[in-house]
Amino acid sequence: MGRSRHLLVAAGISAAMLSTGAALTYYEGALPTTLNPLYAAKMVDYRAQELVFDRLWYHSPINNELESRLVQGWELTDGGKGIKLELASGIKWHDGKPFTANDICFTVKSMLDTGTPSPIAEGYRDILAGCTEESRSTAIVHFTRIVHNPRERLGFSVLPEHAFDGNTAISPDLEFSARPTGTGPMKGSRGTRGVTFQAFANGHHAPNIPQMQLQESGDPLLAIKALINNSVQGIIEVAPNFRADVSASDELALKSYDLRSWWFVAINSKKAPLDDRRVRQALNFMLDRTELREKSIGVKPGERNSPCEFISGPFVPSSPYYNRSVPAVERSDQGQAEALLTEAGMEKVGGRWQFKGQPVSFRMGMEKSLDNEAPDILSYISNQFEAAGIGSQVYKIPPDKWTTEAITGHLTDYDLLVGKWSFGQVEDVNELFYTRSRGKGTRNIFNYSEQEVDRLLAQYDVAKTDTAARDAYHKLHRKLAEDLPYLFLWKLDTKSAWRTEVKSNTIAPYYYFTQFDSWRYEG
Amino acid sequence: MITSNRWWAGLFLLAIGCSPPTETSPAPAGSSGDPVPAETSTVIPGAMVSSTWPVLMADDARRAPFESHPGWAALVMQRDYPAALAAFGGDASHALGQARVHAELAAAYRQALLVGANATVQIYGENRRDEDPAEVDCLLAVSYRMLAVEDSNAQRLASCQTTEISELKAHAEAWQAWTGSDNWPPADALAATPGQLGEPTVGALPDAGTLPHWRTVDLVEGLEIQTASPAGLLGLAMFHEQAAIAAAPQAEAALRASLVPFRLPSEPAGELPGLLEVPLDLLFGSPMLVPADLSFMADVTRGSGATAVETWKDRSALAAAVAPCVDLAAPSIDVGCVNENASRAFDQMRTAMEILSGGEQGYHRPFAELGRLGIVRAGEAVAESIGDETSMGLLRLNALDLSIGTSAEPHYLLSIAAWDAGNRNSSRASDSLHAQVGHIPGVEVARFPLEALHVRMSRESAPGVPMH
Repeated sequence: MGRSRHLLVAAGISAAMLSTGAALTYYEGALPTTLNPLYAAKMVDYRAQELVFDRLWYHSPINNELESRLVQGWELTDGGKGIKLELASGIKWHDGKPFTANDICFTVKSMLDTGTPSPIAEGYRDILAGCTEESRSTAIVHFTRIVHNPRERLGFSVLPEHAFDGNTAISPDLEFSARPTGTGPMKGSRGTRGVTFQAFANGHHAPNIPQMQLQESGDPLLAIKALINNSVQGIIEVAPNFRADVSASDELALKSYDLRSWWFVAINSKKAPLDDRRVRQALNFMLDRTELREKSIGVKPGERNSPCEFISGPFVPSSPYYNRSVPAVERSDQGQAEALLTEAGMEKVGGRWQFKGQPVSFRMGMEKSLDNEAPDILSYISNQFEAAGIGSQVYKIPPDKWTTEAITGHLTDYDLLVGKWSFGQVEDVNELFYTRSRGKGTRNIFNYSEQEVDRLLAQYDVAKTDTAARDAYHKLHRKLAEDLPYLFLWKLDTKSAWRTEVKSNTIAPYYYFTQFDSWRYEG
Repeated sequence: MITSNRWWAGLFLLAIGCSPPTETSPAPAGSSGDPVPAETSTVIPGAMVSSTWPVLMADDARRAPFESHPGWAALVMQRDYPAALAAFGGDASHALGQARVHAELAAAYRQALLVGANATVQIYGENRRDEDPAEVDCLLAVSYRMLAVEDSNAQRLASCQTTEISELKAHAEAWQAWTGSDNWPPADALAATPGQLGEPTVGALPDAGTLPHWRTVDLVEGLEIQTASPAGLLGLAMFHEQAAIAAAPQAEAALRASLVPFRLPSEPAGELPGLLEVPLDLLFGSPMLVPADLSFMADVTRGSGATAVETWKDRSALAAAVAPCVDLAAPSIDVGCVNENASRAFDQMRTAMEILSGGEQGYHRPFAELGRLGIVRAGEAVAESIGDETSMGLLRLNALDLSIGTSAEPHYLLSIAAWDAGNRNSSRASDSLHAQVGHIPGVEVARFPLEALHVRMSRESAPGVPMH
């Protein structure tokens, strides 16, 4: 279709939308599991919450300046162990009630309340000591110690005290998780088929887009077609295979989304024969990552500036925590794999590996929405194991189940789980590998436990200097590359696609919608 | 020898990740003669559109010498400097191509230096901690000097001369001897900087010597800290600038003008180039569309801002496209207008190319995309020049989005990394720098301070947990 024809079609649809007052709609790989910021488990949760809530301080996506929409003045108190906040005036919650210092203190106290089983709150318990409301517009947040750049530490979303009747023990299952009350630019409501956002004019927000819909995308090809046909106006994560189609369209724009993400296959090291490190190492050599990447992501061998780069440990290669002296396994080495399996007491009979006389077969799972970014990756991995003599059954896991069961360490009937972790400025991986106990290891998928790993994670936790922290993670990287609770696959850049009728759509690193007030939709 | 249009178009499509077209579109109806049809809204005057390199290159005969040469393929389609230098090597008929590679490397090393200098200032100047060793004063002083900030540098250099690392002591002494001097380049100080570059040689691609340059220890736990002198990158920048001129002395003025937007704050301003003779070889595959664009961008970069737009809008395609978006009185620039005009100019160039080619060809779009990018970058430069930081930032992010595939110029991407490092956006700066490590020898010098900054920033951030 020629460009002019494209434009005519787009113009016709746009006119129809204007007449029906259609909302701007965008696709996510999955629906958010919760709109309660304390219980975000997936990036889609964070992105949706960014529309509904205000974080106390945030970084400008334009120049990275630390800014606040809620605080108009601040000063250090208590010799640097506290910070006094003077709140901006004229801010209302989405139910019309005024935003006050009480809400700040309620949020702090909720995070400190051990009856709030939130991993995000857990992270704050190390630095926050409490909060005092001095007046309706003044609060003092207390730290456990003197911290450098205290405002940088206060990046949490603020919750309304009245919505919880002052009860600081906040459960993840409340109605608030589906229909929250925030101070952000949009009022959000989660249904079974999507999330509806409605603009809420406020003293500190003036969104230009009156209505927005978040929907689950499904098949990536159909999603791209829907975008081209203007049935939706944006896709948050576009699979690398389809990025060229976006680039080649006059009506679409490919947008950078700064997110540090890496992919893995978690191994259930509690189950035989995977409890034998040699078997895990053999699997590492069986995988031909170059072929996997080519088939699933579309990256040709040797391609320059690929969005997808192999990794050997739990960091992206551009990170200072990545130990570059540990090489990534890029090609399969069946000879090494066979030697390791034989050493582990397994036998190959008729081309199939057997363990204690039984054919080896793995139950493999993957969170369903990952198929949108790396189509058919689960099948390709399964095929490679099959070709090497190991059977498998593959299952796609619904996002909710992934959040409630995989991340929490309850999918122990699986042998292998394919997943992806994303990070912002902080690349703390301790929750993934700590032995799961007493609030630690909250995202340890197969409840992996290894003494030396725990020791290195603790070293990172207590590091007095930057060098000590980095050294601890370099050692951790090497240790994990040997012990292999995960088969580390690759880092994958994230790109969004938006129709060009969506203007001024600056995308914030990690949180995405931080600058949403400036977005305009001229459809 | 491969010479077909199909090969050229195919490589371009491969570089941007597209499938080759199965058929070409017919020329728009009623398009004979005038390369800009009436329905295309005009951002760049018609005659000027015809003289842009993308439209000139729609002429098969003019394009043939470029598309038949692997050096151009490596430079323009893959942005692969080592491969381009190797392919151009010894081919006197493409000396300008070789000069172009050296000039872009000279720009890239300057920007990598700024990445390192900005990161050094952010970590050891703005966020210094008790653990940081005295030796960082040397790095800080040299970084400030490169950024043309003269605050207490002599004191810092004196302070770090107490080091027991003899090479670092000598380095500090040499830089101190130069401090306060107007001499440029700081030859003696560079001689005391690690890495032996030798005489500038056309086709050579030296690195920054053995890294890290120095090893010291933190003052709390005595753990090893690795460092490198950002100034090592200055030596490389100077090397390549001289190699560029040696490769094509007849184009010296144009080569130097192309470097103006990428020069260091500490470099002498020199004379403005005026209107230059610019060979097509120095424009092809770049965001500079016509010869006057080099002069316009040099003028804007020197701080002439809105005045430069007025001065050059009748000769420079970039200035013409940006001019309607500039409010001379304020002065300010309309970001939406710049983006809109960039898109309209993109359409203008594509339409003109289609008419000349008798239909759409695979290379039209990526060529025109470079023009679109050039306009956004011009808007960004104007915004910076007039002190409109928000507009500059927004346009820079827009330009970053457009800098993909064949439009991903390493030296420009490193300039964004330098900006990011100065803004303490260490994640994106690290990603941008990492993308060039392994392709531009020695740029990993900037990694040392940038990684130190990233670790410090991440340890002083709000807690974060991994998200699925």
